[in-house]
Amino acid sequence: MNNELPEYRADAGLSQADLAERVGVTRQTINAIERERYDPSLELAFDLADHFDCRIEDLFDPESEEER
Amino acid sequence: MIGINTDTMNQLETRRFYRRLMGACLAVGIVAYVVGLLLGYIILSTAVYWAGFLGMVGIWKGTSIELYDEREQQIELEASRWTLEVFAYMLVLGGSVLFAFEATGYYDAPPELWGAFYAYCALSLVFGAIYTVHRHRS
Repeated sequence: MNNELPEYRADAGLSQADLAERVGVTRQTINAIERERYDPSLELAFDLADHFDCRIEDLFDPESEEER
Repeated sequence: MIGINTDTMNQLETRRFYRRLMGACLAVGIVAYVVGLLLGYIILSTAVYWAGFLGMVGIWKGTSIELYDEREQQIELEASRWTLEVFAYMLVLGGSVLFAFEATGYYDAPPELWGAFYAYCALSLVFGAIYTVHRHRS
Protein backbone atom coordinates (compact mmCIF):
# COMPACT_ATOMS: atom_id res chain seq x y z
CA MET A 1 0.00 0.00 0.00
CA ASN A 2 1.25 3.48 -0.87
CA ASN A 3 2.37 5.31 2.24
CA GLU A 4 4.09 8.40 3.49
CA LEU A 5 5.78 6.60 6.35
CA PRO A 6 9.39 7.30 5.26
CA GLU A 7 8.60 11.04 4.99
CA TYR A 8 6.86 11.21 8.38
CA ARG A 9 9.65 9.19 9.97
CA ALA A 10 12.36 11.37 8.43
CA ASP A 11 10.55 14.53 9.57
CA ALA A 12 10.44 13.14 13.10
CA GLY A 13 14.16 12.27 12.90
CA LEU A 14 13.54 8.62 13.71
CA SER A 15 15.31 5.56 12.39
CA GLN A 16 13.29 2.49 11.41
CA ALA A 17 14.50 0.81 14.59
CA ASP A 18 13.37 3.77 16.74
CA LEU A 19 9.92 3.78 15.21
CA ALA A 20 9.68 -0.01 15.46
CA GLU A 21 10.50 0.15 19.15
CA ARG A 22 7.88 2.83 19.77
CA VAL A 23 5.04 0.95 18.09
CA GLY A 24 6.15 -2.50 19.27
CA VAL A 25 7.05 -4.25 16.02
CA THR A 26 10.34 -5.32 14.49
CA ARG A 27 12.49 -3.01 12.37
CA GLN A 28 11.92 -5.42 9.48
CA THR A 29 8.17 -4.82 9.73
CA ILE A 30 8.63 -1.04 9.43
CA ASN A 31 10.99 -1.62 6.51
CA ALA A 32 8.47 -3.93 4.81
CA ILE A 33 5.66 -1.35 5.22
CA GLU A 34 7.82 1.44 3.81
CA ARG A 35 8.78 -0.71 0.83
CA GLU A 36 5.09 -1.55 0.32
CA ARG A 37 5.72 -5.23 0.77
CA TYR A 38 3.48 -5.55 3.80
CA ASP A 39 0.14 -3.91 4.62
CA PRO A 40 -0.16 -3.25 8.34
CA SER A 41 -3.18 -4.28 10.38
CA LEU A 42 -5.70 -1.62 11.33
CA GLU A 43 -4.32 -1.68 14.85
CA LEU A 44 -0.76 -0.97 13.73
CA ALA A 45 -1.95 1.64 11.22
CA PHE A 46 -3.79 3.42 14.05
CA ASP A 47 -0.70 3.16 16.27
CA LEU A 48 1.47 4.70 13.56
CA ALA A 49 -1.01 7.49 12.84
CA ASP A 50 -1.34 8.11 16.56
CA HIS A 51 2.42 8.25 16.92
CA PHE A 52 2.78 10.87 14.18
CA ASP A 53 -0.36 12.67 15.34
CA CYS A 54 -2.01 12.45 11.94
CA ARG A 55 -4.93 10.62 10.33
CA ILE A 56 -4.53 7.14 8.87
CA GLU A 57 -5.42 8.44 5.41
CA ASP A 58 -2.57 10.97 5.66
CA LEU A 59 -0.18 8.10 6.21
CA PHE A 60 -1.65 5.41 3.97
CA ASP A 61 -3.27 5.54 0.56
CA PRO A 62 -4.85 2.27 -0.61
CA GLU A 63 -5.15 3.51 -4.21
CA SER A 64 -2.24 2.58 -6.39
CA GLU A 65 -0.77 5.13 -8.82
CA GLU A 66 -2.47 3.39 -11.78
CA GLU A 67 -5.91 3.57 -10.18
CA ARG A 68 -5.81 7.36 -9.79
CA MET B 1 20.49 -17.00 41.15
CA ILE B 2 20.15 -14.42 38.38
CA GLY B 3 17.36 -11.91 38.86
CA ILE B 4 15.74 -10.79 35.62
CA ASN B 5 13.33 -7.89 35.68
CA THR B 6 11.39 -7.61 32.45
CA ASP B 7 9.65 -4.46 33.72
CA THR B 8 12.70 -2.42 32.74
CA MET B 9 12.67 -3.84 29.18
CA ASN B 10 10.70 -2.37 26.31
CA GLN B 11 8.30 -4.53 24.31
CA LEU B 12 10.90 -5.62 21.75
CA GLU B 13 13.50 -6.47 24.39
CA THR B 14 10.95 -8.47 26.37
CA ARG B 15 9.91 -10.32 23.24
CA ARG B 16 13.55 -11.04 22.39
CA PHE B 17 14.21 -12.22 25.95
CA TYR B 18 11.32 -14.69 25.93
CA ARG B 19 12.25 -15.98 22.49
CA ARG B 20 15.83 -16.59 23.60
CA LEU B 21 14.54 -18.35 26.69
CA MET B 22 12.40 -20.60 24.48
CA GLY B 23 15.37 -21.31 22.21
CA ALA B 24 17.55 -22.09 25.24
CA CYS B 25 14.98 -24.56 26.61
CA LEU B 26 14.82 -26.40 23.31
CA ALA B 27 18.60 -26.30 22.79
CA VAL B 28 19.24 -27.73 26.26
CA GLY B 29 16.69 -30.46 25.55
CA ILE B 30 18.26 -31.39 22.21
CA VAL B 31 21.84 -31.35 23.50
CA ALA B 32 20.86 -33.41 26.55
CA TYR B 33 19.03 -35.86 24.29
CA VAL B 34 21.99 -36.38 21.95
CA VAL B 35 24.54 -36.58 24.77
CA GLY B 36 22.27 -38.90 26.76
CA LEU B 37 21.82 -41.21 23.77
CA LEU B 38 25.58 -41.33 23.18
CA LEU B 39 26.23 -42.13 26.85
CA GLY B 40 23.44 -44.70 27.05
CA TYR B 41 21.05 -42.76 29.31
CA ILE B 42 18.14 -43.16 26.93
CA ILE B 43 15.20 -42.66 29.30
CA LEU B 44 16.84 -39.77 31.15
CA SER B 45 17.83 -38.02 27.93
CA THR B 46 14.31 -38.44 26.53
CA ALA B 47 12.85 -37.01 29.74
CA VAL B 48 15.15 -33.97 29.58
CA TYR B 49 14.31 -33.50 25.91
CA TRP B 50 10.60 -33.57 26.71
CA ALA B 51 11.13 -31.17 29.60
CA GLY B 52 13.00 -28.77 27.30
CA PHE B 53 10.30 -28.97 24.66
CA LEU B 54 7.48 -28.56 27.17
CA GLY B 55 9.37 -25.66 28.75
CA MET B 56 9.53 -23.97 25.37
CA VAL B 57 5.82 -24.55 24.73
CA GLY B 58 5.00 -23.44 28.28
CA ILE B 59 6.76 -20.10 27.76
CA TRP B 60 5.23 -19.69 24.31
CA LYS B 61 1.66 -20.38 25.34
CA GLY B 62 1.89 -19.27 28.95
CA THR B 63 3.19 -15.75 28.59
CA SER B 64 0.88 -12.82 27.97
CA ILE B 65 3.64 -11.20 25.90
CA GLU B 66 3.06 -11.30 22.14
CA LEU B 67 6.22 -13.09 21.07
CA TYR B 68 5.91 -12.45 17.35
CA ASP B 69 4.78 -9.24 15.72
CA GLU B 70 1.94 -9.16 13.20
CA ARG B 71 4.15 -9.46 10.11
CA GLU B 72 5.99 -12.46 11.57
CA GLN B 73 2.62 -14.05 12.37
CA GLN B 74 1.46 -13.44 8.82
CA ILE B 75 4.65 -14.99 7.43
CA GLU B 76 4.05 -18.04 9.63
CA LEU B 77 0.45 -18.29 8.39
CA GLU B 78 1.57 -18.02 4.77
CA ALA B 79 4.25 -20.67 5.29
CA SER B 80 1.70 -22.99 6.93
CA ARG B 81 -0.77 -22.41 4.10
CA TRP B 82 1.84 -23.19 1.44
CA THR B 83 3.01 -26.27 3.32
CA LEU B 84 -0.55 -27.59 3.46
CA GLU B 85 -1.03 -26.80 -0.19
CA VAL B 86 2.12 -28.71 -1.19
CA PHE B 87 0.99 -31.66 0.91
CA ALA B 88 -2.50 -31.49 -0.60
CA TYR B 89 -1.07 -31.71 -4.13
CA MET B 90 1.13 -34.62 -3.11
CA LEU B 91 -1.85 -36.37 -1.55
CA VAL B 92 -4.28 -35.82 -4.42
CA LEU B 93 -1.86 -36.46 -7.29
CA GLY B 94 0.49 -38.93 -5.62
CA GLY B 95 -2.29 -40.89 -3.92
CA SER B 96 -4.20 -41.51 -7.14
CA VAL B 97 -1.00 -42.63 -8.89
CA LEU B 98 -0.23 -45.02 -6.02
CA PHE B 99 -3.69 -46.60 -6.25
CA ALA B 100 -3.51 -46.79 -10.05
CA PHE B 101 -0.10 -48.48 -9.97
CA GLU B 102 -1.29 -50.87 -7.28
CA ALA B 103 -4.45 -51.75 -9.25
CA THR B 104 -2.62 -52.38 -12.51
CA GLY B 105 0.18 -54.28 -10.82
CA TYR B 106 2.68 -52.00 -12.54
CA TYR B 107 4.40 -51.05 -9.31
CA ASP B 108 4.04 -52.30 -5.75
CA ALA B 109 4.53 -49.34 -3.46
CA PRO B 110 6.60 -50.09 -0.35
CA PRO B 111 4.85 -49.84 3.04
CA GLU B 112 6.79 -46.63 3.81
CA LEU B 113 5.11 -44.91 0.87
CA TRP B 114 1.69 -46.07 1.99
CA GLY B 115 2.57 -44.89 5.49
CA ALA B 116 3.39 -41.45 4.09
CA PHE B 117 0.13 -41.48 2.13
CA TYR B 118 -1.94 -42.27 5.21
CA ALA B 119 0.00 -39.66 7.19
CA TYR B 120 -1.00 -37.07 4.54
CA CYS B 121 -4.61 -38.25 4.86
CA ALA B 122 -4.44 -37.85 8.64
CA LEU B 123 -2.93 -34.37 8.25
CA SER B 124 -5.77 -33.36 5.94
CA LEU B 125 -8.38 -34.72 8.36
CA VAL B 126 -6.85 -32.84 11.29
CA PHE B 127 -6.75 -29.67 9.20
CA GLY B 128 -10.39 -30.14 8.22
CA ALA B 129 -11.44 -30.66 11.84
CA ILE B 130 -9.55 -27.59 13.10
CA TYR B 131 -10.84 -25.50 10.20
CA THR B 132 -14.44 -26.53 10.94
CA VAL B 133 -14.10 -25.67 14.64
CA HIS B 134 -12.64 -22.25 13.83
CA ARG B 135 -15.32 -21.60 11.22
CA HIS B 136 -18.07 -22.25 13.74
CA ARG B 137 -16.37 -20.03 16.31
CA SER B 138 -15.82 -17.05 14.03
